[in-house]
Amino acid sequence: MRVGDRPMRCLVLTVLVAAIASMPSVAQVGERTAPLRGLDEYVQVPESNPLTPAKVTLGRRLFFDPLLSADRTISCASCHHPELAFSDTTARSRGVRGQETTRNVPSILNRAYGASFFWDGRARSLEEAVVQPIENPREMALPLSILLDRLRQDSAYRHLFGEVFRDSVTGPNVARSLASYLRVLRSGDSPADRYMAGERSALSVEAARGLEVFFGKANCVACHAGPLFTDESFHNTGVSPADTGRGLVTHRAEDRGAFKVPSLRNVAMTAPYMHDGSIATLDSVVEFYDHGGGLSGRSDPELRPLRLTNEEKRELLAFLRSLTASSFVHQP
Amino acid sequence: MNRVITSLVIACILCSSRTRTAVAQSGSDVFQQALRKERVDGDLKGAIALYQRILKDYANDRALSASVLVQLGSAYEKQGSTEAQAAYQRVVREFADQPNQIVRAQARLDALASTITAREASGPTLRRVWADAPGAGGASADGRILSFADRRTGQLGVRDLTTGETRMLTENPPRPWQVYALGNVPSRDGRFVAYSWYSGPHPVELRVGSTRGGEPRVLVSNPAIEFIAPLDWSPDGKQIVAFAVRKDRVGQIAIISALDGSLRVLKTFGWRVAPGRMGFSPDGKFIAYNFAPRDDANQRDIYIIATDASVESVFAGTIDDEQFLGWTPDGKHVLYATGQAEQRSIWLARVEAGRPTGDATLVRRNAGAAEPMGITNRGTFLFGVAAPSPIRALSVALDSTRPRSSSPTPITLDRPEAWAAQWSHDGQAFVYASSAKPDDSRATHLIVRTTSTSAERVVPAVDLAYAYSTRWSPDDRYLMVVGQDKKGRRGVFRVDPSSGATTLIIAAAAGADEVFAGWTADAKSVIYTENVGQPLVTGIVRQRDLQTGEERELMRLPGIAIGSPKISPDFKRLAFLSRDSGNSSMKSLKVVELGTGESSHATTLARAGDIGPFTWSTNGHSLYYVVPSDGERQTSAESSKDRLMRVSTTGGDGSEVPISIPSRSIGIQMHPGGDKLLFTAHSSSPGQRDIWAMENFLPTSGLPGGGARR
Repeated sequence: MRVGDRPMRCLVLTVLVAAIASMPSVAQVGERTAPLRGLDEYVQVPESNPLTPAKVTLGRRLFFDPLLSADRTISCASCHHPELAFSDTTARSRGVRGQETTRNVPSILNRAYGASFFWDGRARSLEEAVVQPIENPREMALPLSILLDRLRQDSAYRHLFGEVFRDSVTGPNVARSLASYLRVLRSGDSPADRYMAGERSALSVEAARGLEVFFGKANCVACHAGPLFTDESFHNTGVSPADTGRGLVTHRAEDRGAFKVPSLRNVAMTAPYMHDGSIATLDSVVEFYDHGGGLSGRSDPELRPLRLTNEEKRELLAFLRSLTASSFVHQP
Repeated sequence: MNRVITSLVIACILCSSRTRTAVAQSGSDVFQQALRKERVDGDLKGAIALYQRILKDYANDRALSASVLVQLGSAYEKQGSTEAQAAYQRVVREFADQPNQIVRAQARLDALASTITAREASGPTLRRVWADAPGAGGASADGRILSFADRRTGQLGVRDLTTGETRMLTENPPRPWQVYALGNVPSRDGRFVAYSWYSGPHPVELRVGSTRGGEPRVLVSNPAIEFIAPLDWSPDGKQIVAFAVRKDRVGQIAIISALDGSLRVLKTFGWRVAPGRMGFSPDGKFIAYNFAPRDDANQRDIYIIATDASVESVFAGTIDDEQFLGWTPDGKHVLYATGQAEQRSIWLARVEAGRPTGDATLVRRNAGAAEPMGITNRGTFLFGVAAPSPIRALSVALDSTRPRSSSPTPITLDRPEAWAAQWSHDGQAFVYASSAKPDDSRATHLIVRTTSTSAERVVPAVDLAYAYSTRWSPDDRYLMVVGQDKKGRRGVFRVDPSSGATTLIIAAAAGADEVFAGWTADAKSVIYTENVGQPLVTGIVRQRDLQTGEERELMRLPGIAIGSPKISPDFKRLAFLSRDSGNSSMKSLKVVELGTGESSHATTLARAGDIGPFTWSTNGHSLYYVVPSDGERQTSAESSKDRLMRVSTTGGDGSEVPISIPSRSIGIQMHPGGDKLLFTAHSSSPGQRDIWAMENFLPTSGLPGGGARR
């Protein structure tokens, strides 16, 4: 019995619905959700894509559906694992037909607050970003036109799209749905957030000292600043000079090898690190920066040896681990 | 069964007694409650609700209803609401049997009509309500109470405009500016004032105190928040909106509970200059705020964000600089200013559900710079106008034949304010720092002036929030600027004066503003200092190769903290200021030979209670230094008592140079020609301001008089 057979389709649909229904529920969009400590209450939502519960539900369904890949084996969640802060454990993930992706999978939590998307910042909105992996030949390798055909042939999706959008199944509506789901994936209220809100017992002494190192001697806040611990600027830290990075987008020589500063929220869960996944552990990342960054390529002139003591490194690591939230709001 | 009947009877009795109690409260009783709420509690909203309840529940009592309508009209008038007219008109129209109330209502209608006519005939009016105010903060809703932080002492006070009484709420500390208040705003009812409080190494606190005095409450004291300034109270008095700057220098809009100090962040702005003036709408549902949309933007826009974070919109966002001034009392308009300085114009724009509707209406042209304090319930816009108190650049000829009474010569610059001024080594150029915007010192421009032509140009795209000092490289190709970038990183930045390219060369710890000593002779390296260790401080002198980034330690000076280091013209010695260990009341001017390594010994050339800025002579044989008159912040415009001293580097006592120098100097440099000194100094004015009231600008049924459209 093949997936295309009607009874099988029904079974698959039933299993999917049951699987989704059994997961912790998404908080109702449109209602005022409780603010998460450490995150802004205000989330910018484009006027062209207002957030509604039905749209988020549709987006969540698409996110977990391997229908969105050429060979129907890969869904968005195949690389963005919810239990790993929506990233994965490999330096480069595998797309359809086992092809390796070009860069490390970034976490997609808190992207509602993002200013640009992907390591090179090539997308300016979530709506623009979400369809690119679907069509990327190394990732899901499915032209949008074929995806739309598949969705239109599926009665459940026809119904769902019709409920949400007046013009039903279109490319922009697929983008709007997926973007809306990503927009509600938020993670805050970590021990570090509680500590910075005044709850002095939220951090161990070691992690509290690590906070001082983070803001002080190590000067991580030069780039990892704000509620998301990233200012979303682009820097060349001397990693992997072969990848032009931001330079491919802006075509400026000074942007060659520069990549977006990633958020450090839940960083302890998103190994390996850097845009190419070349650094395996958080300890190694601290050593990397303590030495003044990578020696290859034109690394950022602001990088310099930090001369951290072993104790300061331990403290800094303890603080970085305290950026892990105990649960994700709107987890699927 | 008997028990059941007994229970039923008791229940009936209780119900009927409750009913009797309800009936016992007459319309007059409720009217008295409402009057008490309005006049004693100052709760206009609550009183209006009770008046309306009386009109609904006791409509049959016509005498009462007519009285209540007149009182309701009066309450609406206090709110500045146009509903007042409707209330009075209803009395006149529906209560012909209540002649006394008709007379009262008609009198108010006539008064309102004449006000409207006068307003339409004459346009906005201005009057000064407080001359020579020591500061300007905010105003209560009735315009009676003004709060301020005294610019001379930093202490918090309130002024009652009705009685003219000024009351200080905080006391002068033992040393001036040891602790002080910053941003401040009274609650709408004038009973409390929220303010920032700086007390040294601790984070800036948000406090609330009674305007009658007494011990304040600390609402926010959080090491993760480096700075917080209250900007407005919610209409119900339960919340305060503030801008907060985190430890990592990002700015935020924060809403703080006035009850328990709990804080929620509404929005974060990244590295940019924190949002400016903010204000709750009269219904408490929105906050309007100022913000510059781009890092390099001098123009601020006005945004409106819902307090429940549901929506945000740009209220005014053009190429002009738009400054939010306040909400009108009915919440239907926003008052704002556009343009710069003297050319600033004031506009009124209608707003609905947090969004602008229709065109803006011109209220006043060429209004000048104003520090908004608030719009009262009666539609009076209160604002402060500051007397200029800029930092200036002045030239003093080293000519002992000049009479001491001759004043230093101000250098006429394109900007009214100039600091961190430096002549280039060839004397051909002059660089100084100035505010990017006249009323915002948080964004800094570097300006290069050609001395022969007096032409000035702004160094493009300099990524600095503030510049403390500048130094030309020996070949005059680069500038080293000690300052702070927009990311809050302090240190020494190399700036290309042609392109503005800015690179952080030396990161300095917080509070270490004076670390750059100078360049090496070949201009390939720079020399800087660092103080380490507690309680015994060790001054360290380091050299960094600008090409390779390699560093080497030149010397250590145990027990000596190095401040304001300056390399001699021959690059062989380092002069610096140091506070004597064990005697923090004395300051020394010291010199040490570079290149002697571990055996370095600093020679004290001068000691005094305080030593101000200093500079090398052109031949490096002596140092000129300022001895301030009293070592403390001057509070009155007196003639200069600061003295210029000269001391030889070979030893001997310093001698006074008999020339008149500016008071309150913060920088000094010898001209390459050796014949004059460049001073940067505060003006003698302590920065007083006048408080003004603008009235007669609220729209009525149509446009204000002379209303142009935008």
